[in-house]
Amino acid sequence: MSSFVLQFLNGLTSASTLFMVAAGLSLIFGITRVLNFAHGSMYMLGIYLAYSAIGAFSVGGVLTPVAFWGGILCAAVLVGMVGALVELTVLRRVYRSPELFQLLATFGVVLLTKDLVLWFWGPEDLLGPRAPGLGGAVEILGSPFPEYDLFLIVVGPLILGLLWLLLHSTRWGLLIRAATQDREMAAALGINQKLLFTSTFALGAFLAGLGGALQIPREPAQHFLDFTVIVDAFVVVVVGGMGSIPGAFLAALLIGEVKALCIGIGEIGAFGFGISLPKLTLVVESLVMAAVLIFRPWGLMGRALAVLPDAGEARPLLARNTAATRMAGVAIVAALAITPAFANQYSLVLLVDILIFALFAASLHFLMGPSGMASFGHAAYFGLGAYAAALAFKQAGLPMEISILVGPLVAVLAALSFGWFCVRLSGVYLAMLTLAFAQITWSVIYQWDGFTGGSNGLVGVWPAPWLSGRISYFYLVLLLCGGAVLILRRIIFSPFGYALRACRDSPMRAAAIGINVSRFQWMAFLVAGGFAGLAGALFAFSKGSISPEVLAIGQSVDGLVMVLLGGVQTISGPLVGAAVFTWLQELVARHIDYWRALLGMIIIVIVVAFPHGIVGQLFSRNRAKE
Amino acid sequence: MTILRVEGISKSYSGALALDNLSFELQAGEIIAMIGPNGAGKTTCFNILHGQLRADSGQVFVGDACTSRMDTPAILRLGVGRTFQIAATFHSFTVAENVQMALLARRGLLWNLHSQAGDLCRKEADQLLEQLGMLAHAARACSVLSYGDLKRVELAMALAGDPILLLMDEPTAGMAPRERLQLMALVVRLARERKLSVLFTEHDMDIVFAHADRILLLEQGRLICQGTPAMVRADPRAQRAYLGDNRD
Ligand SMILES: Nc1ncnc2c1ncn2[C@@H]1O[C@H](COP(=O)(O)OP(=O)(O)O)[C@@H](O)[C@H]1O
Ligand SMILES: [Mg+2]
Repeated sequence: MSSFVLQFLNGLTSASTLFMVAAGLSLIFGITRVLNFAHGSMYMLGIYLAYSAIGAFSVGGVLTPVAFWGGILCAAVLVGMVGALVELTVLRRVYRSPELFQLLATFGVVLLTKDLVLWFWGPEDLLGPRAPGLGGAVEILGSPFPEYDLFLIVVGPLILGLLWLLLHSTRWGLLIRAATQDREMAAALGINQKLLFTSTFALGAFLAGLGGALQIPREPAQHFLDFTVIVDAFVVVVVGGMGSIPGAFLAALLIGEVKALCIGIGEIGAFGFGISLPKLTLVVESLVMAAVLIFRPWGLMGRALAVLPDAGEARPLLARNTAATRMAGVAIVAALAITPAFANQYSLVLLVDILIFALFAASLHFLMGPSGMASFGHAAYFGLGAYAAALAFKQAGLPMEISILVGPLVAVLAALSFGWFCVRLSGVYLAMLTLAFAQITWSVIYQWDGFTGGSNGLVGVWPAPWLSGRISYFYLVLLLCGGAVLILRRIIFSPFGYALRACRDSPMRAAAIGINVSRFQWMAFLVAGGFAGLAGALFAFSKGSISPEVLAIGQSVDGLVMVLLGGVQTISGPLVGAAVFTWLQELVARHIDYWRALLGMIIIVIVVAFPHGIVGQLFSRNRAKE
Repeated sequence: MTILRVEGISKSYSGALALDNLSFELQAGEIIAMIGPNGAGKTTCFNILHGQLRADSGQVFVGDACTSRMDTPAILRLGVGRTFQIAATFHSFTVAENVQMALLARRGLLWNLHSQAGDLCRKEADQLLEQLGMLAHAARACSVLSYGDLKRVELAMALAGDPILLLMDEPTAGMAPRERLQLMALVVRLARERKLSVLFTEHDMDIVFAHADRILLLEQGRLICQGTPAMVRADPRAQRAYLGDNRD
């Protein structure tokens, strides 16, 4: 009994932190309609800055309450300033750009921050000091409970109260609420939007930074916190309802308690399996989110997003093959086919990577471009393909040639079950659900040591002898990936592909001419998942080993960057994006430690220089000429 | 022959009554205008007739089939097409491709991963566009068309479904006055040729009185009078409710 009470309190503690991060994210989304992927980075910055600030304030190494609390506040304020800086330099320039392009901009900030943190603080975990005066524990029902955690439990509702006051009794709050409800109206009222946006960003970042800084006595500063936190925050915001602060609070409580409950219940036995719930918190969390979204598509307290008047996301017509493009395609394939004659081993390995990721990016583009469904969890299908192939080979002892086919098959099955839920939603909600499913898949693979090798992954996944040479495997990959990309292209121009574009352009009109929109979108998941799975299977056999990294969020993000960098509006764009990204990663990563920062900078520069996307830019220039 | 029979449909949005026990009938080949001030419930009625919304109570019959519980594709198969108050087309397609999509959907040819969609049903699409005077624009992108032309494309898409009943929600809204008269004359000509029944909403009374066989006047979700243009024009309730100073 007492352990349940303690777990309940633990749940409240984590709910407080979750709420602080999610409230900022929700506010920013409510006002600017930007889905800020960099919000987790702000949290991470908060915890690192708090570590350093407390250290700097502890004169002579003596930790005083002033040093501790001053350090935390200082960290939060600094993060708020970083938020304002990001808004002023990057996001301000992309508010009128397509949604996905804004997302790319925030990815740039994520990459940049990640490497800055690595560069400044190094890769080791940094453990902060305990809070002076709150370092002890109190007795609750006979068990000790940390005082500091009790303090955090109070902080959450306190912040909620302060935010409520801020929103309901100041002029600024009034403007915020007006702008959240109706952007156009607020603009018409002559509200200084720029100031409003910047201050919202600063406040949101401040809250995330505070949430991070306050964690310093409880958990070490780690450089992968940005992704774990952003996923949690997204889940909370989506469950609570985009833009709703009380909703975020409610959802944080729900998620925090669900997590604590999993830990409290511990191991359960069912059907002869021992299921360890503490290891599967992420799965349970995602299931809660999926359940909420299915019954309340706009979250617990959210309202249907007012459909913004089409932000002028002009999509060009798809260019059909001309003699010139056909020639170019043949030339590229021919050039690739003769490379083994003069390329060295190293270049061949790189080319195989590029081909595999080109297929991965093309399959993601199929969902994001023609089908209009942004997937933030596409690595799930890639990774499942890789694991299914590797497991078929290692555990089931199937020959390599069959195992490679098992990959896409399993990916298709996963896409069918995930997609069934996803197509019930749209926009960012859909994207979040794909992310949740990917996280579920990741944690199952990660935790299932006995079968999947857990965090170590699987080794010894080598191709059959006749394909084991670098050159022969290169030809296999060229054949399969090249063929798959051509098939995808064919599908985009087929009636099925046209129907998908129709559903994207105007779901209402598509339904009115008799297209079953959700069924077509469901099948789009099948196609995209299957081809991503094929890429994954080929990847597994090209490396000889795989680890859970292949289906981690980082892999999904890489895919998104490839597609967005190349341009979501063209079919060849993602292929180019994948090639450039993979090549850059390989080339730069060998010479420069901080290649992600470089990539982040490049992305930001591109986004700021071409606020309508590279392809969009060319497109509008062409139109101006007309 | 009765094409459409609406029996006492009501619909409320979170308590506010948008349609209140509405009943009317539409005979084969009739062209009926539904008029009424903004917010009277016209669009709501269209959405129910076309399966985008469910009525809270009441029934709708198309021919002999009760459509109250049917979804849009099923209602389409009964031969009911529609255009929207705000023209909805596929803006990354050309004009011809939009119509081709409607034709492909109508014939159940969309589950095809192999053929080139741009080549299918092209001739039929061109024929439809020709009838609507849009053939010259066939290869243009929908995103660069004028609003009036978009409405024509939409009309072509609705006709591609070979309807027996066409629902048109404010077909001429957002058009220049000259264009309005032209478009409506075209619709009426096509309807008479194809023996098509039409139910349309319209704010321009000149158009309504020129083309409608019968008029339904809605106010706050209720049918307050119906009849031939002459009857409605003479009806004091209609004059008070709509035709007085509210003419736009
Ligand atoms: N989705 C909706 N939610 C709530 N109220 C609605 C919705 N759509 C329409 N209404 C209300 O129903 C009434 C009828 O609207 P509508 O059918 O659009 O009228 P009309 O097309 O005649 O202008 C109006 O009072 C309108 O405010
Ligand atoms: Mg209307």
